Amino acid sequence: MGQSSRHSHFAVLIVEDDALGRAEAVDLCEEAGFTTHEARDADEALLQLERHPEIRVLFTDIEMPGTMDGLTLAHGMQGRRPPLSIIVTSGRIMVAEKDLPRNGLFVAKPYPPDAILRALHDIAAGLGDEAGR
Amino acid sequence: MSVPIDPPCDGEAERSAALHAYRLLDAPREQDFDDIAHMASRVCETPMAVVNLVDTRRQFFLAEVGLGVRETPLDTSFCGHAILEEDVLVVPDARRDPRFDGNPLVHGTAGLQFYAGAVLKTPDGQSVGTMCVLDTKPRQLTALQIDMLRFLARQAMTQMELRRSLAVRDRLLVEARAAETRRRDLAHEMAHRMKNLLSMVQAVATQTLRQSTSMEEGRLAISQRLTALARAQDILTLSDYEEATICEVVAATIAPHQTADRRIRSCGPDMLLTSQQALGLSLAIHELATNAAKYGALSNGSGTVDVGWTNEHGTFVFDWIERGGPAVVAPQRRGFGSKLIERIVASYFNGEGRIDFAPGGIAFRLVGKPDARPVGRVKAGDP
Repeated sequence: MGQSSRHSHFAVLIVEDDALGRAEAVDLCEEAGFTTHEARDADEALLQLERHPEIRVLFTDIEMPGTMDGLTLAHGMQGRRPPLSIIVTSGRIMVAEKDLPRNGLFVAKPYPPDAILRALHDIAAGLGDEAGR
Repeated sequence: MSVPIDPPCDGEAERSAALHAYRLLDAPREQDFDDIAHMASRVCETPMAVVNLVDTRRQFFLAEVGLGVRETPLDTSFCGHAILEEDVLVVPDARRDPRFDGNPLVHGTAGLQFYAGAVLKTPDGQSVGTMCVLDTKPRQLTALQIDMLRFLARQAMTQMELRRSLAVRDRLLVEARAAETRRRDLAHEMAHRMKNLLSMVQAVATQTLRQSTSMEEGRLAISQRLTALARAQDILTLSDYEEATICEVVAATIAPHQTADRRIRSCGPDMLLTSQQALGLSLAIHELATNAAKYGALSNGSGTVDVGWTNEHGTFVFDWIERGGPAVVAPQRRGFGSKLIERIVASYFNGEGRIDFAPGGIAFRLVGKPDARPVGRVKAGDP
């Protein structure tokens, strides 16, 4: 499975409390050509977002330990500059489109890797346009 | 004062239980029973009529006309006598009846002199009360009036039965609804756990394939890893998927790799594992044992493995120590197996794992603080 480094200057922040799920998400994002950062809960995620302005995609689980769930985190990030593309996933909760933040996509767990890859490629294409302007 | 009724006789407890089953003692007034009392009063032309429930120490007036009270003690009761009768008791003039000598209701200011009561009998034949009429002057009832009193007694009983049936139905409905809610909650929870497990299976499968050099190697590794997961799942099934003890998990995971001369030895205090820890530890032991059988202490006839753990002061330490195997050569490439046991499984114990490829034998140590992170999960709130 070839890796592309086309957009490796853009990063995905993976927020997932389950280490196995996190490892899987890291591989997927790297396969799509992104650099990755990891967080186990929303508090760690906020720290990472502050530290790494190159993070342009938030890929988050909903149910997590800690003070905030992934959906709340995603909504809180809507005004961020530069803007974040958001992928929300959950095995328990189905999120309707109207409850998603702008630039948000919901994928139910267990998610088909292809769906995530496609979404990441679309996001990468958008970011490429932005970089080319 | 004389007590006209003998103390509770045979079957009194059963009779009282039958009465209490209707749950009508101290019930509020109801039109249906009031109507029956009024009908009795009108038909028998008496100023007083009562639908009376007779308990062991008191009588409760489910409906009454002309008395103005809803309860009296039993020791002065007329109805206590009627209960002992098979069908209908008529006392035309209580002043001349030796059974009511000294009864204050007869000889005091109330001056009750006439009484007629028909027994309220349950479908099982228990006498639980009376439909009675009273007067302050002596009188007789016609055969028609006595028949009507009997009919009204039966009517009162029918109304009581109806209420009991409705109460039973309501209770069954409530129970059925509660059972349905429990069933739905359980199904929901099961679906969630199933999805978690499927996510885990998917991750194990894709990660294994990603790192396999051939289809055959990948196929074998996936099926073995899933078998290890299935064994842990068996243990969890016995405890409603909530938790498992470490001894059960270790024993079940070691079993398929154990040698005839039992060269895998395990020792440690029993403790409860969450479902995630149980599944993770099973995978870790599976990885270590598979590697030991291929390259390590279980690949020759004499090597041994010591599996041990401690859990003291909130710190969990798990050791896998191989001795007596062929000389260890550290692998050039760290596969999914290493990542699984060093990082992934260790994270379930909120700790870290490390494989030491010492020449004398592989040693794996996991150190974690399983309770350091909150166990509860945040529910998704409304955005």
